[in-house]
Amino acid sequence: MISFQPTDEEVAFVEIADKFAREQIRPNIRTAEAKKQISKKLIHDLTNLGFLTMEEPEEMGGLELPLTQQVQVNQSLAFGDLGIIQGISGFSDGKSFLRVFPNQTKLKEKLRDECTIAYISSLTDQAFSTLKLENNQLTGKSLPIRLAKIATDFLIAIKDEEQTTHLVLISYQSDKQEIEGKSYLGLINAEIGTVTFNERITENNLIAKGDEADEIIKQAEMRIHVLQAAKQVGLMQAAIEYATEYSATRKTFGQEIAKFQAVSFRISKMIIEKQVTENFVLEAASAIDNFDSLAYQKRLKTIHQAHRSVKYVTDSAVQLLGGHGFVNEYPVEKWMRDAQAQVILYGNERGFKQLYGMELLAGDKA
Amino acid sequence: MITFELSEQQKQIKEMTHWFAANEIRPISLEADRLGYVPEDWLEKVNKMGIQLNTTSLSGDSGKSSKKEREGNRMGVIATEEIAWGDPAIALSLPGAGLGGPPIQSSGTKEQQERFLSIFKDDKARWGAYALTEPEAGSDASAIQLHAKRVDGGYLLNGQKIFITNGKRASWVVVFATIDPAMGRAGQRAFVVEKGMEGFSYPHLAKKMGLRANETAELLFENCFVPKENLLGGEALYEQTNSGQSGFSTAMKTFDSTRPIVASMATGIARAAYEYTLNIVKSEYPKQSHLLHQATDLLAEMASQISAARLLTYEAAWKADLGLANAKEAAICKAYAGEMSLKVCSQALELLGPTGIQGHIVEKLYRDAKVFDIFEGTNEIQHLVIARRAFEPFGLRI
Repeated sequence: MISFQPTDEEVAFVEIADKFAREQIRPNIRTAEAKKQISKKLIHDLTNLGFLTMEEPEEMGGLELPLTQQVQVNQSLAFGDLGIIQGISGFSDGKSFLRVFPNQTKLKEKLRDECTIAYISSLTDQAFSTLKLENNQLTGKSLPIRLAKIATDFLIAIKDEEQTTHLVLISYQSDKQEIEGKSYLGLINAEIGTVTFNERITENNLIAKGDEADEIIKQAEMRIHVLQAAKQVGLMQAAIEYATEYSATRKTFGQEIAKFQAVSFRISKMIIEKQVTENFVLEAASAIDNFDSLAYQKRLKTIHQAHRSVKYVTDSAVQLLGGHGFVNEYPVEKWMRDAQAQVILYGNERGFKQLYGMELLAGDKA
Repeated sequence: MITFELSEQQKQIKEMTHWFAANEIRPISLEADRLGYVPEDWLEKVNKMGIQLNTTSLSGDSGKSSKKEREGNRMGVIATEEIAWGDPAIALSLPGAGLGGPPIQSSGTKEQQERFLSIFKDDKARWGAYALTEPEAGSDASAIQLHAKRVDGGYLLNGQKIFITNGKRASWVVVFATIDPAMGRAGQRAFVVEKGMEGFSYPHLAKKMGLRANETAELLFENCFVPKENLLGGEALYEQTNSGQSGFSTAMKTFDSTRPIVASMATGIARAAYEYTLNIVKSEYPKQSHLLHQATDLLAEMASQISAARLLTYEAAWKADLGLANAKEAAICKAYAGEMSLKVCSQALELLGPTGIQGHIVEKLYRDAKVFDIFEGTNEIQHLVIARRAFEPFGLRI
């Protein structure tokens, strides 16, 4: 039966995440950004609370939580600050590959004990990326990716000259890969960087190939995108709460600006946008958990919506704060920058919409 | 547990109502639009089949009689989306208590519930209606002027109501009036005015851009005597100190259960337009063309909005089933779905091109859709409701 009621366990977990986000993450956002560093204590506390192993399979020491539960926690934590969450290795995209990989023991053997896996998707033609796989030699520079600068391993999805998909795992070695990265736009704490490779691909670092690789990538990316969309919902919630409180207290022309309908209606539209995305996230997560045949389609719809909404909501928050929104004394300008950076890293919005449309034309109902 | 799977019963309701919409409603849709009414024999036939627009379950039972989770609201929105997919004007014309049901269910005495709601159980097609809007009181329901004067044994009603769905054919109408305009909301009362009561007439049926097959009546009350037994909730209810009860609160409470229904209708309209257009694009658009590429983009946009509206509606209905306050969610789904429906129909027409102007159901759906952004509270009113809820924690009333 259709229900939006979380389980008692989910409620309890989310309450802890919510408290942590408000009390531990939010007060640190400007310091973390200025220092370009997340405090070790914060990471330590997140680890102790179990938030950094939610996606990992039990076989690898993780909690292996359903995606429906994880998205609720991710949303709560990102409410504290998306930029900080994106800079923590426990929330790396690589973990979703660990989760879906059919032979986890085999994969575990290839990884270090405390690994940070940065994921590079290079399956389609990309402007600015020179990454290529020819004659089993991986060469070139990737696009900027999250966690590149602290990665212990790189998981790369790429096609060879015969258009066969390869999924390769390459350990970071300072003398072999060159990592560059200076972020100015947003997600400053996300350790974003480009990686240059010149690597021989052998049986040792080839994780999967052909149809098997395609399926693993499809399954993992579904999870990644839904988890990212959930974080974007958290960011939207933060922006909405902040802008609402500001509008309720800021006075112009002798009254609170909330009393002007242009302002209150904008708040209302922000709330609706956030709610639409939140529902999509829950629906997609539930579909993935239940191996629903429409899960792929729902993921496309969700990430597209999340990208569009997060830009609108964070921009609106800045707009409602006016000049105050533009300056660093208030967090909304950071959230707007973070939102735009997030959308670029996990884009592109139009591409997702196009893929979703193609799925619909292929046969399924709305 | 969070789940988006329909229960077996919900699946059955969805399948059954869809079958009915596809096989009984859709075939007469365009004809009813041209005629400007739904044929009486068809209405009698479907009534005998047990198909009614009864929203009385939407406000829910007390929940005391059963430990089983209530799902009337969810069932209601699932079924309504399907029926409106068939044709929204015909959906609104189906026999039953309609929008008049929820106020009787939520605010009526047991005797009133029995007297007014039991009439829908027999073989003859009957309707209920809900009359709030006046020429000078639309969105501002607190400004109604229809006057109720206390007289021996009851009340004398004087005034006018407009845009009343099924107002002429209804066996009874829940009419909102004021005993004293100076009292504002506290002076409002809800009465059940029965067909044939002296001084109650229907001078005019509106001609509309859409929903043409559905009757939209003007109601006139000229010294219309209504016995006190027809005051919704009874006089004792209003006499209780600090009861907080007024016709206004009854009207507003009604919206919490009817707005999701209206949103589900809007979703059904949009889905009908989308599915019709999707089939045309599949069969008529040249493959591998840039036209198809553009259409893909638009179809994705349409489908995404439809499912967004549906989930928002489910959420509002789910909260109502649990007995939780859902005014904000009801406003959110109504605001989103009402606006979305017209937009999707417009996008569908865009994809059909000039051929969409005539002979396709999409042009009719486009005309029908507009009012879903207006009635049961305009889009702007929904935004006000949502924003009010948002500012409440800060002690600000907007």
